Amino acid sequence: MTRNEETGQGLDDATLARACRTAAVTVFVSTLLLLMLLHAAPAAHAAEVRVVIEDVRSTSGVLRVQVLTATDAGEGPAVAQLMLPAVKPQVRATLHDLEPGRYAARVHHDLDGDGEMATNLVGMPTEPWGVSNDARGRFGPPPFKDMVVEVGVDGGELRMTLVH
Amino acid sequence: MKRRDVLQLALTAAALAPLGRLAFAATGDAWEAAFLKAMADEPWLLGYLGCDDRAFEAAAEVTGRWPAALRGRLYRNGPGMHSFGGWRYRHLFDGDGLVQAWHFDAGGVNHQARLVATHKLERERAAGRRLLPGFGSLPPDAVGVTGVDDLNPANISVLPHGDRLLALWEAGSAWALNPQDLTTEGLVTFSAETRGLPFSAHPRLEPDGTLWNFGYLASADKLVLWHFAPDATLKRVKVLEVPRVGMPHDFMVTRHHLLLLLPPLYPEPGGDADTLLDSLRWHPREATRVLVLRKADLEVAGEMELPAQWVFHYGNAWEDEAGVIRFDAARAPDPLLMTESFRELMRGADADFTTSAARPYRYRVDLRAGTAVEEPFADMLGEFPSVLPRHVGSRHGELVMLVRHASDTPRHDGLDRVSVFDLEREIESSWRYPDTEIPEEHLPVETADGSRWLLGPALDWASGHSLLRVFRLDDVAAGPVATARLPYAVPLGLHGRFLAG
Repeated sequence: MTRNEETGQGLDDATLARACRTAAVTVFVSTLLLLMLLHAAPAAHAAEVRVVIEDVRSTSGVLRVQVLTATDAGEGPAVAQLMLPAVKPQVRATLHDLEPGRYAARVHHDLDGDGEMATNLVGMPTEPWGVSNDARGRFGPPPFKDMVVEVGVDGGELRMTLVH
Repeated sequence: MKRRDVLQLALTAAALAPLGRLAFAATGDAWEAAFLKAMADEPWLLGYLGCDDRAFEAAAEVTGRWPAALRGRLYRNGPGMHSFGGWRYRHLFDGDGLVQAWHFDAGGVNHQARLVATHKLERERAAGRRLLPGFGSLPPDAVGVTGVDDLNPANISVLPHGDRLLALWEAGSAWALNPQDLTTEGLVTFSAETRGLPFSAHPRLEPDGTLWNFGYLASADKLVLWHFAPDATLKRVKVLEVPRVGMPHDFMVTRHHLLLLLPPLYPEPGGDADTLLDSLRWHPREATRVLVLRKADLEVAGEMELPAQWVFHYGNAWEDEAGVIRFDAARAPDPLLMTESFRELMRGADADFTTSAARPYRYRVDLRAGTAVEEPFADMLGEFPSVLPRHVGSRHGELVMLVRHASDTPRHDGLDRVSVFDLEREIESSWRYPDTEIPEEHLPVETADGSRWLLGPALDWASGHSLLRVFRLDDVAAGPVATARLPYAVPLGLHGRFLAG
């Protein structure tokens, strides 16, 4: 009953720089503008997806968000990785030009900005994390299927509350 | 119905009225209703009724002569609130931790008790109902969890540590309380790399102040070892891979070693069990392993086998001149008391407290020969072993236990005596509690003037009052020298620590 999902992948600066060079999308963060990444070409039926992160308790470091596609088999490839400034108590971003479909997201509040999820001696996360829909397991990691959000042509929302 | 029973029922009802609990019968939870119905016939069940979401504070009425030198605080912990929002937990070990402080000074004996304001309880208070699964309980419409501390009820034991009082569970972090007023300060993180690691409920405190503890991760086959300096700073922590570590509840220290028994009780992954308790499987044909670790490097010094057995609690371990480790324990043939009886008890069912009950055993572990042997040392039921704090890790002259002799038939069907075993002369000195009382863990203590006492909490279920008795450790059979009586009944607790001063 003590396994925990290790959430969020570290994003190093080089990856982010590459992402910025190829990105054709802007991301809105509350009133702050920040960064993003995405597929280069806007899709034919582009949808707008809001990313909302609740209960941000520190302005240290950055929030690293990974947006994933969901397939019938489960977790699909990532379509976006965001690095957002930490603003209390809520951070919002908008992803433009996502194709309608099924998505999920994870967030890691990288408090020390080292690009790594800090863990304790047995690998449990010790920095805040969250998953879309605030999906929760009973004795283990949250089931991926519970993280999935349907995004239609009118868009959708990936909402998650940080676990501290 | 006999007249005595009518009287007891009336007294129990009077004790209950302030708890305001009879209204629960109308809420529709079958277990709550069954428990209250059973309690009408078996009024000793008052000890397991549980309290409301409240705090306790009162001066105790003292009779007899309270020893002048006996000053300080007896802290105790145990599952306190079994029912909330009209729903009753399905296992005794799930109730929210209720930490008590009995404070004795020149002004008399005072008592207070508070529920630990864990994350779990705070969320449930906000919702007005149970939300989180427990060890053996799954409330309706339970929410999911992100880690064990989401469920942590801080309800097993208590430890004064540095300037804090720790309320301990078994599978998660410690909770820090203010030792003066018992208000909750927060979840304890000893260091960044140890955040969230399990810190079990039976740390061993050596006479010089050195503290040892362990924790297990049953599903990950890991054992965590903790070592603190006398000033309460963390000196070392180590995570060991221990296949089939199971769920050891207690451990021991000797001069050179740490010692655990690993009973063959394991969670079976992948099933559709509702709770951790439901996922546990007992393997009676497997050994209970004796794991010995070196203090010096926290590595395994040896592993021996004993017949399958379940042990909650040990008295004390020490190493003799030949390096042979000796210890005593309350040994049960299997964990059915925990897996069955303590579940049935919550609905007031006629739970069997005797078949799988523990008995006093002693053990010899010879690391060089690679042997471990055991034998019963008293033909009776026995639990809650304890020794003087001065004896932890070294040869202990006496062992205190709650026991029940074969000829005893207490109405409450539990342990009904406190006994002090003189281990050198093999003499038992025993005092039997009145049939209207249930004794709780008794602790031997020494005062600054060298006098030796035994602190004995109990519940007088017939009149609805919790008690604290003081015995002479060297003459327990003479009965208590003083009794402090509270104006209320507190749920039966588990483990305590005395802090002199």
